[in-house]
This record gives sequence, C-alpha cells and structure tokens, in this order.
Amino acid sequence: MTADITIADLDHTYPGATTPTLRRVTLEVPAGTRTAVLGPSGSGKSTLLSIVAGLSTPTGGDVRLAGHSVLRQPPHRRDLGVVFQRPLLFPHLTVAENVAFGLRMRGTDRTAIRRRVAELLDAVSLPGYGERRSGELSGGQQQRVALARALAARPGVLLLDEPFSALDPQLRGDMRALLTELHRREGSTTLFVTHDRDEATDVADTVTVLLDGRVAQHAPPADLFRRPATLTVARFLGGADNAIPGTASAGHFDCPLGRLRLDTDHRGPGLLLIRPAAIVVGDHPGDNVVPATITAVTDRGTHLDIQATSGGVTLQLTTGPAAPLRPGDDTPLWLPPAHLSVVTP
Amino acid sequence: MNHRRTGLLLILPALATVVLLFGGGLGYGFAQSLGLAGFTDTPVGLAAYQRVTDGPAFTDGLLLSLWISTVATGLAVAIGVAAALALRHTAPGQRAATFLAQLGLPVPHLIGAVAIGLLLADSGLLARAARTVGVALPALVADPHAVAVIAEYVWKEAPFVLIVVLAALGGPVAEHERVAATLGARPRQVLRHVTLPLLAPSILAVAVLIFAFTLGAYEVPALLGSAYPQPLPVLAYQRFTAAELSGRAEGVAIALLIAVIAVAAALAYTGASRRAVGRVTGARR
Repeated sequence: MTADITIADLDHTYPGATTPTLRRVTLEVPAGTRTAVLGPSGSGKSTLLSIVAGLSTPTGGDVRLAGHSVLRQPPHRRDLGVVFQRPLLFPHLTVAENVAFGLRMRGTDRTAIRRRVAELLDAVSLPGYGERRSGELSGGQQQRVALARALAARPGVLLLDEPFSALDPQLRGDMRALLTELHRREGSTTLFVTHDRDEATDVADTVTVLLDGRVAQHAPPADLFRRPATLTVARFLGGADNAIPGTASAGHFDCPLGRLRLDTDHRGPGLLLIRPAAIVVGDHPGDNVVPATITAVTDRGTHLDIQATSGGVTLQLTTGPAAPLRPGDDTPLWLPPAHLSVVTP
Repeated sequence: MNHRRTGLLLILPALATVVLLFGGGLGYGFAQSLGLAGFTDTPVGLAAYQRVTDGPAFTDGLLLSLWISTVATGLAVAIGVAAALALRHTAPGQRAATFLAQLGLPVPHLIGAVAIGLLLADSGLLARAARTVGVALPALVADPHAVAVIAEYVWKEAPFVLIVVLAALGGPVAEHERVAATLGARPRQVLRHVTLPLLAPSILAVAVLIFAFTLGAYEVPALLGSAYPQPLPVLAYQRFTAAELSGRAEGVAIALLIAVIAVAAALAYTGASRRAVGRVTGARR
C-alpha cells in the first residue's frame, strides 16, 4: 500500500553541535508521488532521510507515514525500503537471497518469494542473475539489485539517499529512467535525496530545495528554474547570472532595461532574474523586447556564450552554436515574461 | 621462468630459516620417536607410538585434552562474542572493556593459573568464603572435569575474542545491519541473518587459534589438573623427562600426535572457514 509522507516542523541538532542541522522542515509527499530533496552537501538532506527511515531520532517535530506518527517506531516497523549511496548488498547471500530478504523476514511463503524475486530481477533487467554473488556484479548492477531488494516487500514508502552518485554519468541516466519506470510499476511514494539538480528534475515530480537545514523552495522542477523563490535558490540552481536591480509593481518591473511586463507577487525594490538560455535573440511581437549590443562571443562548441549590453546593463545569454552573431552587432533581445522572476536582493 | 627463479632465490633465506628451525627440530624429534636418533634404547620403528598409545592413560588423556579445548574454546567464544555485541553501542563501555581486556592479555598463563588456583582451590578464597556461609563447594582444582583449567583458559581467552570481534564489528557490519532493519528485519533476525554470518570468519579464526593453543599448552593443566587422567601435553612432558631411556622417544611421540590432532583441527577449520569466508566475500564455493 502506497502511503503519504508528512514531515512536520522537523528540528534536528546533533549532540554537541552548536548549529541545528534541520530547522522547522515541513514537507508533504502525497501517496504515489515522487519528491526530490535537493541540496548541497551539509544542507541536512541525508539527516532528513535517515530520520524518516528511523535511523536517527529528531530533536523536534513529527514524521507521519500514512497519517500515523512513526517517530516511536523502529525502522523495521515503518514499512519502507531504503536505497543508500552504496549498494550494501549482503555479501553472504546470493542476488536472489538479497532481493528476497525483506519477504523472508516477514515469513512470506517460498513460492510467492520466488515469483516476486523473478519479477523484480526482470524489472531491473537482471534476469538469470539470481544465483550470483554481489562481488560478481558491476557497481550499476549491484545498485539495481539494491533497488529490487528495497521494493520486494512492496513498501508504502521508498527512500533513496543519493543512490546513483557513485555511478558513472552514462549509467546514471539509465538508472534514472529505470527508477521512473519502477515507480510507475510499483507506485511506492518516493522520497529522493540528491545534490544533483538534473537528477532531481529528471526523477521527481516535485523538488524541495533544502539550504542550511531549511526548506528554501518546494515546487515542480520547471517552476524551480523559472521562478526561484530567493536569490540563494537561484544561485544554487545556477540561475543568478543575470540579476538586474529595479523596482517591482503589479505586473511590471522598472529597471535600466526599461519597463518590463511580468507576473510577480513581489513589490518594491528587487532583483530581476532571467536564465541565459531563456533570452531570445531577435525581434518578437509584444512587450519585453530591448535593444542590445553584442560585446563578446565565446564558442563553446555545443553553444555560444554571449555577452550583451542594454541600457548600461550587461546580460549573459546563450544561443545555438550556429547563431550568426559577432561582437559589435546590434540586435533586439526578447525577455519572455514567463521566464522572468523577481527576488529580494 | 626467469622471474620464478628470481622469486625463489629471494625467498630462499627466509625459507631456509623456517625449514632449519621448524622442520629441523620437528624432523629430529620425529627421528627420535622412531628410535633413529638420540640416546635411546627404543628399537627402530613404531615401538614408541605403540607403547604410548597402549593402555587407558593415552585415551583418557586424549579425551580430557579434547574436552578441555572444546569447552574452553566454546565458552571463551560465547562470552567474548556476547560481550562484544553488548558493548559495541556504548563508547565508554567499549573503551573500558578494551582496557580491561588489554590489561589481562600480557599476563602469562602461568600467573593466571596460580591466581585461579588461589581462588578456586579447596583452601582457596572462594571455598573459604562459601564455608563461612555454610556451603561446601565441590573440588574445582585437580577435579576430573578440569574446571579450574577451563576457567583459566576462558578468563584469558574471552577478552582476546572480545577484542577480535569488536574490531570485526567496526567494519561494514553496522551498515548492513541498518539495511536489514529498513527491510523489516527485527533485531533478533538481524543478529541471526546478518550480524553473525558476517562475523563468522573472524569468530572461526579466533576459535581455531584458541583450540590449537589449549590443545598443546602444558603449564595450566600441569598446575591445576588432576593426577589422573592427565591431558596429552602433561603426559608428553612427563614421559620426556622420565628417568628411563625410552621416555624421550615416547614423549616426542605424544607431542607429535598432539601436533597431528591440532593440524587435523586446523584443516577442518580451514574447510569450514573457506566456506564461510566465501559466503561473505562472494568467492565461489
């Protein structure tokens, strides 16, 4: 049975530490969905996961699985599956015995176990590997077995702690696709911790950005990039290259570029953010077209990094590698309203 | 080919030392036991072996030796492992236990035997304390079950097991236990299905060390054991230092038989541990 995860006002300070690791973290993961907790190392995201798993006890707040507080329950009573950064397969057991572990501990009958193990080994594309030992598998294969093992008993909640960060980049892409596919089949509510923003946006339907132990933003992946909640979030997501000071009012932002139309709740002085890749070179019918002069072009092979000035403001933008732009060219730039956001300076 | 010859040449000095010291002594002893060397009246052949294995003294001694080694090893391992598992989660407890264990390790068995003797003998502390409350204790020293001998071995070896198992627990065992708990294993199941299987190679290794040592050790049963039956090492020493000329050959014969039993035990262990290690490290059985 898939279950929703409620994290309410969670506080945690490690014994002897002066600053808290988690501060009033509140997070709701509806049943059957996938949420990624994205944060740099030291942001408290692994601590958060280990508290949900029951491997650490928080200093304050509550964790509810399927509506019931589980803080007083040890990990083995929480109906969950955890995949850690390292596969941690039991070395004294075969692949099949590893996958079967959770079911065996629950006393499931042998025929049912055998059927479920075969089904999962198929699902992680390792059919026929059942009799092997973990030492005979590659890192990616071991992590796939770990995934199968975590899902075998059909836990309500699947927790993943940077599960793919030890794998090489090519493999990581495959694993993300596999995880999405497995989630579609199994439906366990998934809470996924990562420092890799591509991983977070690929795998999750909602991303929670955790900075300094606080929830900085909780939004679908696209919104996160289009509308970062704060300058820190924008910086962490690599979207603070263009930060233009000005004043926001209802539907408008006045700055050296002129009066730009946008949709924001912000009022008064603020910073306008737009990602380099969101700026469109060329004219466009409607608002938000500003005249600009190209000052520098750097050919990166896959794209061009371009610097332009407009109204005394320097803008960073990127275009496709074939754009016919030279330093000194005058060109209009379109700043699409949907990609503009305003944050507190 | 050339590499192999160079390698052989390089290990030759070490090999020669080992062969000379270990093999030489053993070979000379073997020759003595066969009546081939030394100042002896033993006829050439297996006469010394026949004489020492003839009669109940050898059989009783062998059974007593196996009894002492098996019980002492079993108790030391059980106590050491239980203590390690109980202490692993408390840092101060672990430090204190390790300190106490290290305190005991350098004490020679001879001193340990004397101390145990003073404690457990008929006139010892325990017996006197028990007498004051009106309890008469059975004989614990020089008794047929070698209680004092086993007690000394357990007192000395259980801390050794504790230290080895604590070290083994410092490895990835704890991580695997956490995984097992998240997979729904209750603490008892974690112990049975994860902790003990992962510790098995270390436990087996330390067990065979203790078994082989206690099988061949002389001073503790000599001090605390009974006059009859006597375990094999005591028997061997007595024959070896006997007044008769034939004693030497007989003493060496018993010593070599102990070695054969110890080697057989070690081989049985190697087989068992290779299976256990294979299961843990993933090597093919």
